[in-house]
Amino acid sequence: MNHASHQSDDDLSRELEAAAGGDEAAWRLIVDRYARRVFALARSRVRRPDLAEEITQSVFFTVASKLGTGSAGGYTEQGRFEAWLFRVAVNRIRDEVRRARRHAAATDPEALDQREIESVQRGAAGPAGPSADGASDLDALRRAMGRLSEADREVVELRHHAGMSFAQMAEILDEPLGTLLARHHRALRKLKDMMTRSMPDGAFQ
Amino acid sequence: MTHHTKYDDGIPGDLRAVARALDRLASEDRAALSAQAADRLASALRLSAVHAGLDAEGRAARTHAPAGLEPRVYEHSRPALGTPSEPPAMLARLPSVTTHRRVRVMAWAGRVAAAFVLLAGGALAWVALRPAPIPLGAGAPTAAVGEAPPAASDLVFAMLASLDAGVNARELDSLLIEADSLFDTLSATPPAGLPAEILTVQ
Repeated sequence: MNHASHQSDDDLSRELEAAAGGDEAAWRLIVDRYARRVFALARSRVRRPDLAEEITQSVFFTVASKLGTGSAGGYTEQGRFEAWLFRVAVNRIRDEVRRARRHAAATDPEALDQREIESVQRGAAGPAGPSADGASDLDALRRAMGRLSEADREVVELRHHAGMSFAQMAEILDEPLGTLLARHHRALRKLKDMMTRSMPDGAFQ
Repeated sequence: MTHHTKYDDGIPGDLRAVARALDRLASEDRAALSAQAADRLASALRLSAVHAGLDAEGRAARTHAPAGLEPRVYEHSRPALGTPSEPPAMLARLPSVTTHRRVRVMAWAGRVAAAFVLLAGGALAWVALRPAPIPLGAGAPTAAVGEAPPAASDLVFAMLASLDAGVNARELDSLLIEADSLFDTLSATPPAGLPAEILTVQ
């Protein structure tokens, strides 16, 4: 469900204008509408809740500094706030992943994911045992996402964690709509295959 | 708090279970952000927006040149205008040769030139007004090579030279008087060195 679908553009424009003027109530509405989606997008990638919260704050501070300033690089509401907000978020998350890979290879989420997925592939015989309930299904799915390519993973996370439409994703990632649809389909297929191999009982069949 | 995407219909049936699992995973991640964290974020954003607005106003004020300041000078000094500790006169950083300095240099050059002109004029005037030296007259007795100089006195030569130089009549009269007195003296006094007997014989 797109959380902002019921919100008219006029209402959003008024809220953004009030928020740019320092109205805390307007900021609370905007945070309630978008902060959790940005946080979920970041948490899915970096895995650490504290770092995901830091990224979320950074994204919204960038928004606050650019909103209504009227300067070069600032944002003027033209009905594309959501796409602009998540473009800022995607860029911030990419920077964080790049920095983590460069400076802390041992704590690289991708590297951790790879080790965890290898553990899953060895039989999914962790402390929780085989995937018998929903929680372990989600854990296995989270590990499986770590094996996706960067581009496939970004599409899946924008679609499901950020709740973006494919049209908005095409604008954010600057890719053709058909390419994104095909990439999403391919990513789901890969996830299904990986989950099927890691769960012999056929939970995702 | 579970959400589902609107495009489930476009997903093949064998992949819908994966898509729903992804939606559940996303809902779990969204719920991980606490309400307190969201409240803190909203409060901090309000302050951040206020500061951003103040910064924008400051930038807008700096983008317009102050009244009375030439736009070229303002554009040249804009980077330095951001440092309020420097005095305004130093902000422009214009070329160091000012009009006042140029005028001062030209004034000294004029004074030196005027001094040269005065000196040159004075030298010319001195040369022009200086009395001409008395040339030796054509009738003055000169000594030929190998001969002894004339035995006449200096007064005679001076008189003859003055005559040749064209002195005026008054001077000529005085000279003639002096000449008469000279000849009288010569005739009244026997030349030295001649025996008195010779003179007396006549």
